[in-house]
Amino acid sequence: MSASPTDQRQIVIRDLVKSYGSHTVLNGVSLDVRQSEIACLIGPSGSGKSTLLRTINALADVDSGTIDVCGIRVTDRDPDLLTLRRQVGMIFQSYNLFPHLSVLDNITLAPLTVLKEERGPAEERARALLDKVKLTGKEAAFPGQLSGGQQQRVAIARSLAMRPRVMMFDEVTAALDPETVKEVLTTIRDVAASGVTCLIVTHEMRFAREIADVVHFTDGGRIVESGTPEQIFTAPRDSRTRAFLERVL
Amino acid sequence: MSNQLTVVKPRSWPGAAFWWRVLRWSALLAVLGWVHARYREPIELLAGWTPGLLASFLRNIVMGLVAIAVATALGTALGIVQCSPHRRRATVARQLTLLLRNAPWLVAVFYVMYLVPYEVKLFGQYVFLADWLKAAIGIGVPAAGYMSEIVRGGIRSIPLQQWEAANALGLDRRQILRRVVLPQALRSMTPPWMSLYCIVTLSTSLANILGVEELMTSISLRLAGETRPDLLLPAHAYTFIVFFVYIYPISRLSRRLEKKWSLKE
Repeated sequence: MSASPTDQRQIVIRDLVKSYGSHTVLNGVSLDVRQSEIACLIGPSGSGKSTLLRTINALADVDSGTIDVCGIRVTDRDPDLLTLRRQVGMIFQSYNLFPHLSVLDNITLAPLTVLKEERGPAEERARALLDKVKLTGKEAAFPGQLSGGQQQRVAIARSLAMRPRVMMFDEVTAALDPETVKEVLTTIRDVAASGVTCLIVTHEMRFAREIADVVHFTDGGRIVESGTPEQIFTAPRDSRTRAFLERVL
Repeated sequence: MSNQLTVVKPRSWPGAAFWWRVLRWSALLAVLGWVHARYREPIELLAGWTPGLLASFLRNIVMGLVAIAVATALGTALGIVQCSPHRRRATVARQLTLLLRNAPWLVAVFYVMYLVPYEVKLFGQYVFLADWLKAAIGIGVPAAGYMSEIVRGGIRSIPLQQWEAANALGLDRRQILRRVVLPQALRSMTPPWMSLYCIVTLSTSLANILGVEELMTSISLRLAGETRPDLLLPAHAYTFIVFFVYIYPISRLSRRLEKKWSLKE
């Protein structure tokens, strides 16, 4: 559970449509995420969850509809990408650490080059973040020397170094060994508890049920059903939600 | 890799590979011995010329360095623009690259030699441009076409996820190229860049046609003073050997790096 979501809406999405050629990935998605809320997106593969996340920080463009994040209209022709991406952190399934940089340099790269911070304070903060994700002492290691779970936690620290107000997690445990999934989920739990708004795409149903304030079930490029975890997992209203949960639980 | 199996080979008589090597070296020595016996007089003559000839070969080396510097600077810029998201800029860079790659080097050298004035005004001062400098720039310009392709290939070899991760952190295109993509691409770009350096250095002998004093010119001048047609082949073999001794180690190193870096990751 998060640090009590407020009523202020931080992400507002209306009637979002995106297609690749003739294949419609997002078919009229509308979604609100409130400040400090933990929202989980669940649903079958190919239902557009990852694409939705990528449109929110403008890694993918859209055909129609609007997205507002922290007061920035992302779907404008020329949005303020720098401000947007400073406020929205994103964690990927494949970690995407920079293999040529040490753990410490991975974390300080964006604060140094984008925020123009001084090296001293930036490194101090990077060490504090490494403590937070329980990787104290790994400053000098390179990504290739770390396990998948450790790399993913470095990726989380790297993203937090930009002090984002929203964190998006795109199936971040999907590529991990079962025994390292837990350490990453624990880290996400800590992030969520700190009051950062979280948008989490996941296949870990137990995790979603435990952590989420709101669960959105997506299918065929639409949000089919939204509700509290209690409602979605114990009394799903839509037949598609029921069918999906029966398959995965 | 630390977890490689260590294979302990039993001690035995040298294998076939060893005997082949002995055979190759003996054959080489035999040929050298025969050449020395047969061409003793020309070889001694060429040996006497060596200090002067090597001094002019130094000119070739300096020209090669200038040419690769020009090719690297111009080619890197072109290669980066080739990967630009601006469709039109990318097209212009690609066509310019194609043009350079298809220009005969001698023609390019000729154009630079005759179009660039012999002195230019730089920071309010007239700077004299020597012939050899202009020729080196002339070789560097068409070589930039190849450098452009090396850089494009290097940038393309870095997975798109690296761009996305850096984008998501707020880095702009220039910052991503400088901090994330190019440092990683350096590995795949270095071996072909070294090969390009070898080619560029070899091409500096083209300048002799345009009157620049380098190794080839130096040899020709000396031959002209001797009126001895029998010296023609040994003298050019000498040029060949001088270039080979300089280029071969670089070329080997480039091959080794390529192998080593392609095995990793």
